[in-house]
Amino acid sequence: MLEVSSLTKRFGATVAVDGLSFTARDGRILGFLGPNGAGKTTTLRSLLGLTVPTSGGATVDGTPYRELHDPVSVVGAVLEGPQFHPGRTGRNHLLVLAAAAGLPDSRVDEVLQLVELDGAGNKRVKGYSLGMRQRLSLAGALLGDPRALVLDEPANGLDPQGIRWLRDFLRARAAEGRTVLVSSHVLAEVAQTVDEVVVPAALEALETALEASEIRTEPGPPGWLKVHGSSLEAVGDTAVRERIAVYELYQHSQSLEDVFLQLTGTTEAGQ
Amino acid sequence: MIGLARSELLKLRTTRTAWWLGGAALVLLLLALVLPLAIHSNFTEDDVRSVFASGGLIGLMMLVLGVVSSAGEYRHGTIASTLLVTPNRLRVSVTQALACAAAGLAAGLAGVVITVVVALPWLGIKDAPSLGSGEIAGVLASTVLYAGLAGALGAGVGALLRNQVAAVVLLLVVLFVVDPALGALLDGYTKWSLGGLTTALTGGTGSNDTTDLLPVWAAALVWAGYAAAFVGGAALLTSRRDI
Repeated sequence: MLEVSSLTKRFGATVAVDGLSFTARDGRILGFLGPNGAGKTTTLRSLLGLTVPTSGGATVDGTPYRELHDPVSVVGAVLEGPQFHPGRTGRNHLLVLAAAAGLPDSRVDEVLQLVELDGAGNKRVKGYSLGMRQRLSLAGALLGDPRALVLDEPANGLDPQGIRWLRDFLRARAAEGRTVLVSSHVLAEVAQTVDEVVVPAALEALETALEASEIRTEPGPPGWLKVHGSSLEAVGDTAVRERIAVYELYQHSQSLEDVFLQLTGTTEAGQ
Repeated sequence: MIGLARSELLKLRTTRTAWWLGGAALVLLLLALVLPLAIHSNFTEDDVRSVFASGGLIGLMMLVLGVVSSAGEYRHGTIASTLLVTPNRLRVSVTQALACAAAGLAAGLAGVVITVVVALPWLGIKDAPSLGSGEIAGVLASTVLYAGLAGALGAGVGALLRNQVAAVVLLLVVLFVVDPALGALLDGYTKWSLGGLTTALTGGTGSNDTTDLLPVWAAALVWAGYAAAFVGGAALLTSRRDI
């Protein structure tokens, strides 16, 4: 379980992440959506102990990442941006990580096979395509057979076939009971993959719009908004007017006044 | 810790950087040995001592190796995966410094082999005054020690500054501009400066002008202290910095 609680990160006067909270649960794929610059990378890097939050924090199974005893068996991460020495072969890159993690060299060949990169393992990374680098990064994330996967824009650089492969791959990991947290700025990439989403910007936008129409709201579970004293029609109309995509909308059985909304994306509004 | 050490050594072995720098150091050493041996004919004891101390220049290359490998982690972005596997910054910085020290010691030992093979017979032919084997061993050993210490300090400085070019330039400026200048201006500065410690460790300058320098063992300790300060400082800063 990955938990982000009241995470705030400022870079000088810029607020990259503002009091964000969400939980990624075991056996589920949580999509973390938002446009570029919405603080997705900052949030994921804070979760991984690479970025120091201004306030709030994040934990993995209740422990801050930096205090994990054997981090590679708990979380595997695919980060954005350059992360390989161009002159090192893909296999050697993984051998370096495996040695530091105390894993046997044979595990390296296993993960290379798993990401279907076993043919290119002995080539220097500078000869890799973007897609191959993504696979190598994923292989690194899988080394310790972690209970959770954190992926920052994993579909970048993958062709449609690669995206499909990744989708199936993540599905299979979640089916094994692992937690998957995947960020993306392209809704279509993840819409078919994720079980739940965090869309801080869209949630806020819809909340504001509902309040403006004098419809009372309160925060629901991650990705959800709880609405009081309104109807499905009124809420649906507001969402359409504001051009915010609502993926699930239902009336709570206990109280007909409560309407739950699940948001999985946003078009223009709220960004 | 053993796994981490293996990992850091593997990092050094699996790119060409260390091999190139080590190779360049040994080629330079060969030149530094051959030129004076070919040109000079009347060798004093000090000349002989400085021939055996030629391996000191390997240390300069190992300084660069340390910087390039630790700052290179930031340049190539591999620092993120390094810290994901080992979140403890101090352990990472210390192990990197130790790995670079090991690389320095290895290069230094290779330098000793070259020095002995080239210099011993040649000096014999030239009828140069012979030093005691204990003294020769001492001079050779201190060049090996210096190469190791230089690797560690370079790694510390590289991890602290995170920029390969800036760190290499800074070290060269300190060694070849700042230290000689301040040494001339301030009494007692040379003794504690990187340049002065280098001279103390790599000997070779003869006995007359070493009065202002620390003995080898003390110079090694002071240098190791500097290296530890850079490594510790880098670890402290890294734990507060965003990677």
